[in-house]
Amino acid sequence: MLEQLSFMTSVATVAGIYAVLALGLNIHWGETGLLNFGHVAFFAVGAYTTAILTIPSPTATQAYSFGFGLPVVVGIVGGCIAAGLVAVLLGIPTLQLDEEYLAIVSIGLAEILRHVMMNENWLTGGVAGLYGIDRPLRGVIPPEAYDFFYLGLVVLAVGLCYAYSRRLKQSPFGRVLRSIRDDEEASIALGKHTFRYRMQAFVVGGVMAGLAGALWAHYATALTPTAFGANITFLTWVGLIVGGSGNSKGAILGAGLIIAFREATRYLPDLYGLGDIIPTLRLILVGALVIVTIRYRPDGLLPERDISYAEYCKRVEYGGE
Amino acid sequence: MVNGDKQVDRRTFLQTTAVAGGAFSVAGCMGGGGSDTAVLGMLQPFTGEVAWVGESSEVAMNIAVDQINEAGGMNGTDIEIVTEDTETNQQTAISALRKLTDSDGASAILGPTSFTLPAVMDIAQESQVPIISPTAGTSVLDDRGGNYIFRTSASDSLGGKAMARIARDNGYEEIAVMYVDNQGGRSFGQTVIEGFEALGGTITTEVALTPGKSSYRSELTEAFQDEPEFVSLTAGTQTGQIILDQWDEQGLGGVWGLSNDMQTDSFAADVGAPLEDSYAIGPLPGGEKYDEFAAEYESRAGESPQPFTPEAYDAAMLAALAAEAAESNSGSDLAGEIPAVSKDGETVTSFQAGADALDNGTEIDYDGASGPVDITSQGNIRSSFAVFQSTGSEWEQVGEIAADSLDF
Repeated sequence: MLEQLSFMTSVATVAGIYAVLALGLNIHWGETGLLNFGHVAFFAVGAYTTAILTIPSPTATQAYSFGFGLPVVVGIVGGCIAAGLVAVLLGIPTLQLDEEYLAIVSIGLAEILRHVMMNENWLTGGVAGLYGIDRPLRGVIPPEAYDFFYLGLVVLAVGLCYAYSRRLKQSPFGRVLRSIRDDEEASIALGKHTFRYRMQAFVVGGVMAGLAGALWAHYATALTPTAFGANITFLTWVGLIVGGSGNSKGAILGAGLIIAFREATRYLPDLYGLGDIIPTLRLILVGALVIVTIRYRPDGLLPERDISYAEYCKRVEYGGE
Repeated sequence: MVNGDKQVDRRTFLQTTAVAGGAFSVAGCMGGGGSDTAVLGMLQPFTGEVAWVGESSEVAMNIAVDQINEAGGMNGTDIEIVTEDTETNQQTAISALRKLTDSDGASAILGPTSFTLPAVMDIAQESQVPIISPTAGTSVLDDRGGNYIFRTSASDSLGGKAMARIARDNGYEEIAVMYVDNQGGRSFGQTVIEGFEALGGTITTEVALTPGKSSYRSELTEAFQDEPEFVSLTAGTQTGQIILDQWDEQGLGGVWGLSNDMQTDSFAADVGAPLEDSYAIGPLPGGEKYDEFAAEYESRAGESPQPFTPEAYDAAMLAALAAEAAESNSGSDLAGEIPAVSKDGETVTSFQAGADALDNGTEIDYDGASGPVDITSQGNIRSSFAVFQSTGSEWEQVGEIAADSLDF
């Protein structure tokens, strides 16, 4: 029983990390309409930055040449900042592009970044990766309770990102983002400098993905480029679409469902003795889930709520804005 | 009206099925483990580029486990194999490993490949469950193994050194090195370079290849620009075949030194005459124990054993014998016995013989289908290699490189 609990804790931790990723993507796509197919790039930058900041200096036999041995907190903050900076750099050339162009460029940039990770041995350890990444308060928390502590940390991160996303729904900033999503021409006509708003949204979502990456790095304690393929981007998209884009609760629910689904299907062989075909079947089932969702609930399980003007005025009154 | 009231509306239906589904999957989680069987976890890729590794080593492990169970099981308990797919992806591998250690209570994990092993070794260490990989050649493990991480496959750095030896012993002074740019390819390629330079030779060019392309003409031009007489190539059979076809087409000359992945008879036959006089390294053909294993494998899978399958068989045997020696099926107890049962003692080649000897208090040295399988304190094996040369249609063994000659 305790063993099962321990396994479920690790599933919940991974689900939480994906929820943070999905919340970031929700700000890009759900709120602002940025078709970002390179989300994994921010995730990777966050993970590698915190790893490089916190691992000890390399010994003679190791491929990488930087390791600063700083506290984990510095690493996580550094990971978020680095992801934000990368978002600015990627944003300058790409955010002026139309949706479909942004999609192609962002997927390309994510692939370029992955190849940089594979080849710049001095920075990332190359294909061999980085190992022995420290975990926060490892010595302080008793080992048997550590998984729960880390889960708590991840839940806290989800909570923070969720609170931010909720606030965004009601704030003037969020309204501009949604106006850009729904009709960019109209918001330009109203005098909004849309490039600046798109950039800000891109950075905020990127920082969230960076945070997810940092949390992943300290959870996994090892990083290799195989962990940062395009499949992460698409799994996050699946979560967002199934959960409901434009709704932050939906993003969390979707991410949780996808991970739970992926992990729960590990038990199918035990139940029915189906054996070898299960691993392949799992991928098919994830695809089928998306098709079913789009067919029967095109806006996701928790669709974005359309707020009428009257209701909006009421809210603003009560919200004191 | 009564009917109308009784009808289940869509919302209720969805809620009920969702709850039932959720409860069902939780119940499923509770079902595994905790029974009176011992579990050996198998963590290998079953999907993606190297799916054949998972499928073939599963056959080998089943052979080993059936033999162990027939002989009474591990410490009197039947072994059950639980397989998990790594999808050749670090994230999936970590979740899968945690499921095997936490939820299934595996005594030991057999697998995974070089792609994912470095990413999961810290976690295995933390969970105190030994990993015995039959498939990971990566040189990362050279000085990080031992304790909980072991392997029955030879390190790429030994293979690379053996390749350097072949080139040097046959009198080549200048060679070029090509390798596919992944964990395994790179560590193999790098040790060819280091080894050959240590032996006093010169490397003209080093070319990293992206696997799975349809044309390697520009890479070939680069590799052959200084007209090397010998080119070392580390690649899978598909990529290797394309490279060799285009090399022949361009008439670039020289001979090849091919890594063990390409040392299969079908490969030599497919490439044919252009490959004549080229070299390949491969495992030394096994003795009686290998033949016995190969016969059993063939009867089950309908083909001759794939690479790494004898190693997978031996990994399962070692885990079970270590458990017998520790008189416990717990991972943390048996981990320490893995090097001990592999060397220095009475030679045994089957689980039955090993278990009997251990019952009598004798130390044992397991020799398996893949060779003597002596695990060092760093968790590696020392391994000898065979040198093959192509006759233009098949590989012919022309020499042997002893493990001792690779200490340089």
